[in-house]
Amino acid sequence: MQMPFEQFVDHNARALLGSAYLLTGDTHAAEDLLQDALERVFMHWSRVLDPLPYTRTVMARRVTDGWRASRRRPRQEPLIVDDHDVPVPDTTQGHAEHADMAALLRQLPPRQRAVIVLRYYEDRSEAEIAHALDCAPGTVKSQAAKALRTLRQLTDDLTEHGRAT
Amino acid sequence: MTNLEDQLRQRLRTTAERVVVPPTSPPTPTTEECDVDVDAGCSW
Repeated sequence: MQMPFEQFVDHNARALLGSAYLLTGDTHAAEDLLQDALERVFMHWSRVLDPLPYTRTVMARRVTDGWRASRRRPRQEPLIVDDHDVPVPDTTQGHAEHADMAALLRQLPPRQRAVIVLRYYEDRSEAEIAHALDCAPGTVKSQAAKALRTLRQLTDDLTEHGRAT
Repeated sequence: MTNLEDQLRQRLRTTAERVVVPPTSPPTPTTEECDVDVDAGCSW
Protein backbone atom coordinates (compact mmCIF):
# COMPACT_ATOMS: atom_id res chain seq x y z
CA MET A 1 0.00 0.00 0.00
CA GLN A 2 1.53 3.27 -1.11
CA MET A 3 1.66 6.20 1.29
CA PRO A 4 -0.46 9.25 0.47
CA PHE A 5 1.23 11.80 -1.76
CA GLU A 6 1.05 14.50 0.90
CA GLN A 7 2.81 12.24 3.38
CA PHE A 8 5.55 11.50 0.87
CA VAL A 9 6.10 15.21 0.36
CA ASP A 10 6.12 15.91 4.10
CA HIS A 11 8.68 13.19 4.75
CA ASN A 12 10.97 13.96 1.85
CA ALA A 13 10.70 17.70 1.18
CA ARG A 14 14.06 18.50 2.66
CA ALA A 15 15.95 15.71 0.91
CA LEU A 16 14.30 16.54 -2.40
CA LEU A 17 14.98 20.24 -2.03
CA GLY A 18 18.61 19.37 -1.36
CA SER A 19 18.78 17.48 -4.65
CA ALA A 20 17.00 20.31 -6.45
CA TYR A 21 19.43 22.82 -5.02
CA LEU A 22 22.42 20.84 -6.25
CA LEU A 23 20.81 20.49 -9.68
CA THR A 24 20.18 24.22 -9.99
CA GLY A 25 22.72 25.87 -7.68
CA ASP A 26 20.04 28.38 -6.70
CA THR A 27 17.50 28.33 -3.87
CA HIS A 28 14.63 29.87 -5.82
CA ALA A 29 15.19 27.74 -8.88
CA ALA A 30 15.39 24.69 -6.59
CA GLU A 31 11.96 25.44 -5.13
CA ASP A 32 10.50 25.91 -8.61
CA LEU A 33 12.11 22.73 -9.90
CA LEU A 34 10.82 20.68 -6.97
CA GLN A 35 7.33 22.12 -7.37
CA ASP A 36 7.38 21.31 -11.07
CA ALA A 37 8.59 17.76 -10.43
CA LEU A 38 6.06 17.11 -7.66
CA GLU A 39 3.23 18.19 -9.93
CA ARG A 40 4.38 15.64 -12.47
CA VAL A 41 4.83 12.91 -9.87
CA PHE A 42 1.36 13.60 -8.48
CA MET A 43 -0.15 13.04 -11.92
CA HIS A 44 1.32 9.51 -11.98
CA TRP A 45 1.22 8.82 -8.25
CA SER A 46 -0.81 5.60 -8.41
CA ARG A 47 1.76 4.06 -10.77
CA VAL A 48 4.96 5.27 -9.08
CA LEU A 49 6.64 2.37 -7.28
CA ASP A 50 9.59 4.13 -5.65
CA PRO A 51 8.70 7.81 -5.44
CA LEU A 52 11.93 9.25 -3.98
CA PRO A 53 14.34 8.17 -6.73
CA TYR A 54 11.59 8.69 -9.28
CA THR A 55 11.11 12.32 -8.22
CA ARG A 56 14.87 12.89 -8.27
CA THR A 57 15.02 11.44 -11.76
CA VAL A 58 12.20 13.71 -12.90
CA MET A 59 14.08 16.73 -11.58
CA ALA A 60 17.37 15.70 -13.21
CA ARG A 61 15.66 15.05 -16.52
CA ARG A 62 13.80 18.35 -16.39
CA VAL A 63 17.06 20.22 -15.85
CA THR A 64 18.75 18.48 -18.77
CA ASP A 65 15.69 19.02 -20.96
CA GLY A 66 16.05 22.79 -20.77
CA TRP A 67 13.69 23.49 -17.90
CA ARG A 68 13.85 27.09 -16.68
CA ALA A 69 12.79 28.47 -13.32
CA SER A 70 9.77 30.73 -13.24
CA ARG A 71 10.66 34.40 -13.39
CA ARG A 72 7.25 35.58 -12.24
CA ARG A 73 7.89 34.88 -8.59
CA PRO A 74 9.26 37.88 -6.69
CA ARG A 75 12.77 37.49 -5.40
CA GLN A 76 13.01 36.77 -1.71
CA GLU A 77 15.84 36.69 0.75
CA PRO A 78 17.91 33.58 0.02
CA LEU A 79 17.33 30.79 2.47
CA ILE A 80 20.91 29.67 2.53
CA VAL A 81 23.48 31.37 0.43
CA ASP A 82 24.24 34.40 -1.61
CA ASP A 83 22.91 34.16 -5.12
CA HIS A 84 25.77 35.76 -7.03
CA ASP A 85 27.72 33.82 -9.61
CA VAL A 86 31.00 34.43 -7.85
CA PRO A 87 31.71 32.80 -4.50
CA VAL A 88 31.59 35.31 -1.71
CA PRO A 89 34.14 35.01 1.06
CA ASP A 90 32.42 34.28 4.34
CA THR A 91 33.83 34.17 7.82
CA THR A 92 31.66 31.16 8.58
CA GLN A 93 33.50 28.18 7.15
CA GLY A 94 30.44 26.02 6.56
CA HIS A 95 28.48 28.70 4.76
CA ALA A 96 31.48 29.70 2.70
CA GLU A 97 31.95 26.13 1.52
CA HIS A 98 28.25 25.88 0.88
CA ALA A 99 28.20 29.02 -1.25
CA ASP A 100 31.34 27.90 -3.05
CA MET A 101 29.82 24.55 -3.92
CA ALA A 102 26.67 26.16 -5.30
CA ALA A 103 28.77 28.59 -7.33
CA LEU A 104 30.91 25.76 -8.68
CA LEU A 105 27.85 23.78 -9.72
CA ARG A 106 26.42 26.79 -11.54
CA GLN A 107 29.54 26.87 -13.71
CA LEU A 108 28.66 23.47 -15.16
CA PRO A 109 26.26 22.94 -18.07
CA PRO A 110 22.96 21.37 -16.90
CA ARG A 111 23.74 17.87 -18.16
CA GLN A 112 27.14 17.76 -16.51
CA ARG A 113 25.64 19.12 -13.29
CA ALA A 114 22.95 16.43 -13.36
CA VAL A 115 25.52 13.70 -13.93
CA ILE A 116 27.63 14.94 -11.02
CA VAL A 117 24.63 15.09 -8.68
CA LEU A 118 23.33 11.66 -9.66
CA ARG A 119 26.79 10.06 -9.51
CA TYR A 120 28.32 11.63 -6.43
CA TYR A 121 25.34 12.71 -4.33
CA GLU A 122 22.86 9.97 -5.11
CA ASP A 123 25.54 7.32 -5.69
CA ARG A 124 23.95 5.98 -8.85
CA SER A 125 25.86 3.83 -11.31
CA GLU A 126 26.73 5.05 -14.78
CA ALA A 127 24.12 2.67 -16.20
CA GLU A 128 21.44 4.01 -13.87
CA ILE A 129 22.31 7.58 -14.75
CA ALA A 130 22.23 6.78 -18.45
CA HIS A 131 18.76 5.31 -18.02
CA ALA A 132 17.58 8.28 -15.94
CA LEU A 133 18.86 10.85 -18.41
CA ASP A 134 18.01 8.80 -21.49
CA CYS A 135 21.53 8.78 -22.89
CA ALA A 136 24.34 6.28 -23.48
CA PRO A 137 26.59 5.15 -20.61
CA GLY A 138 29.54 6.48 -22.58
CA THR A 139 27.95 9.91 -22.55
CA VAL A 140 27.60 9.74 -18.78
CA LYS A 141 31.25 8.82 -18.49
CA SER A 142 32.44 11.63 -20.75
CA GLN A 143 30.16 14.21 -19.13
CA ALA A 144 31.38 13.21 -15.66
CA ALA A 145 35.01 13.44 -16.79
CA LYS A 146 34.45 16.90 -18.27
CA ALA A 147 32.64 18.09 -15.15
CA LEU A 148 35.38 16.78 -12.85
CA ARG A 149 38.00 18.48 -14.99
CA THR A 150 36.11 21.78 -14.78
CA LEU A 151 35.54 21.46 -11.04
CA ARG A 152 39.20 20.64 -10.46
CA GLN A 153 40.24 23.71 -12.43
CA LEU A 154 37.75 25.96 -10.64
CA THR A 155 38.76 24.61 -7.25
CA ASP A 156 42.43 25.21 -8.04
CA ASP A 157 41.57 28.76 -9.10
CA LEU A 158 39.66 29.33 -5.87
CA THR A 159 42.56 27.96 -3.82
CA GLU A 160 45.02 30.15 -5.66
CA HIS A 161 42.74 33.14 -5.20
CA GLY A 162 42.40 32.37 -1.52
CA ARG A 163 46.16 32.20 -1.10
CA ALA A 164 46.65 35.45 -2.96
CA THR A 165 44.30 37.38 -0.69
CA MET B 1 38.33 6.77 -6.20
CA THR B 2 40.28 10.01 -6.42
CA ASN B 3 40.66 12.56 -3.70
CA LEU B 4 38.61 15.05 -5.73
CA GLU B 5 35.75 12.57 -6.02
CA ASP B 6 35.80 11.96 -2.28
CA GLN B 7 35.80 15.67 -1.55
CA LEU B 8 33.04 16.25 -4.07
CA ARG B 9 30.86 13.55 -2.54
CA GLN B 10 31.30 15.05 0.91
CA ARG B 11 30.70 18.64 -0.18
CA LEU B 12 27.60 17.76 -2.17
CA ARG B 13 26.18 15.96 0.83
CA THR B 14 26.99 18.83 3.18
CA THR B 15 25.57 21.41 0.81
CA ALA B 16 22.32 19.51 0.28
CA GLU B 17 21.88 18.96 4.02
CA ARG B 18 22.08 22.69 4.69
CA VAL B 19 19.12 23.50 2.50
CA VAL B 20 16.22 24.86 4.50
CA VAL B 21 12.68 24.06 3.50
CA PRO B 22 10.81 27.37 3.22
CA PRO B 23 7.85 27.88 5.51
CA THR B 24 4.47 27.53 3.92
CA SER B 25 3.14 30.94 2.94
CA PRO B 26 -0.01 32.16 1.22
CA PRO B 27 0.20 32.01 -2.57
CA THR B 28 1.59 35.13 -4.16
CA PRO B 29 -0.80 36.71 -6.69
CA THR B 30 0.45 36.22 -10.20
CA THR B 31 0.42 38.86 -12.90
CA GLU B 32 -2.65 37.25 -14.39
CA GLU B 33 -4.51 37.34 -11.10
CA CYS B 34 -3.68 41.02 -10.66
CA ASP B 35 -4.63 41.90 -14.20
CA VAL B 36 -8.08 43.24 -13.38
CA ASP B 37 -9.68 46.63 -13.64
CA VAL B 38 -9.36 47.95 -10.11
CA ASP B 39 -12.07 50.53 -10.78
CA ALA B 40 -14.61 47.96 -11.92
CA GLY B 41 -17.62 48.07 -9.68
CA CYS B 42 -16.78 51.48 -8.21
CA SER B 43 -19.62 53.95 -8.78
CA TRP B 44 -18.07 57.25 -7.72
